[in-house]
Amino acid sequence: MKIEEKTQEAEAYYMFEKETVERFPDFFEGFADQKHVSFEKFLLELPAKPVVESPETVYIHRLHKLESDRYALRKVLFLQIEKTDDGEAFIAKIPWLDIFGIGKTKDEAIREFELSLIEDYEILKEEKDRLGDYLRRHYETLTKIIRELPYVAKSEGCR
Amino acid sequence: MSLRAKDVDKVFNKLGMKVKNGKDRYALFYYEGKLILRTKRSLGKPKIDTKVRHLIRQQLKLSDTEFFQVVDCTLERPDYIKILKKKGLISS
Repeated sequence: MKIEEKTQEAEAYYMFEKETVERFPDFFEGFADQKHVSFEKFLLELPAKPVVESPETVYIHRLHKLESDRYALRKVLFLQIEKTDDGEAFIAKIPWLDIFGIGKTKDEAIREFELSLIEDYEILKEEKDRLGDYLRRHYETLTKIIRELPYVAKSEGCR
Repeated sequence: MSLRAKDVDKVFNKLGMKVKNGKDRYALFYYEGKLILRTKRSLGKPKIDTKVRHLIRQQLKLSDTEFFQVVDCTLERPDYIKILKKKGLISS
């Protein structure tokens, strides 16, 4: 990995950390006596469901795998899930990845996020030889996050 | 303030984006043959929530003011290209 890429990844990670810590000040206080707690540990310790639900409530969902027979995740992703302003739906997103999914329930939003992630990858892969710098870097990030699975025929085919 | 879905379609159209319909409506911004930015909106929902609008706007790399200028037809593709050049998303 080049230094430039490492810096970008670290910056994106830092921004995600900063934003999350700002939104979860109470949860972070619990780690005040642990100066060097890793951010991964901090996220793992977050409660699955906050006590008070409001449009501002943000849930963290650990996405371990994709509901797809064509793609798999290379690493666990941390999704932020929050209600839309009208309170009628949920948004699942990863801010630094610039991808989101919307659904009537949290599960539906997560599923929509997965589909958006895959669709984003497929669109950029199709255009990979003519991507601008920003989307080229984004595509490179996606290739580090998801991998294609080998094709497995489901039936024995035609006779 | 929520937005009508057709206003978002107007933004895609005003910015000269190529639209692809699948499960969602994808809008792709090309400049000189290169794909520069992409965004999407859900199909089948007449209104776009404020937070969703914010996410679309972020994917388009526009400020809130600039986004509404596109909706109001006071900012068009040539202005958008200038904004993207200024932000370094298109090389000058």
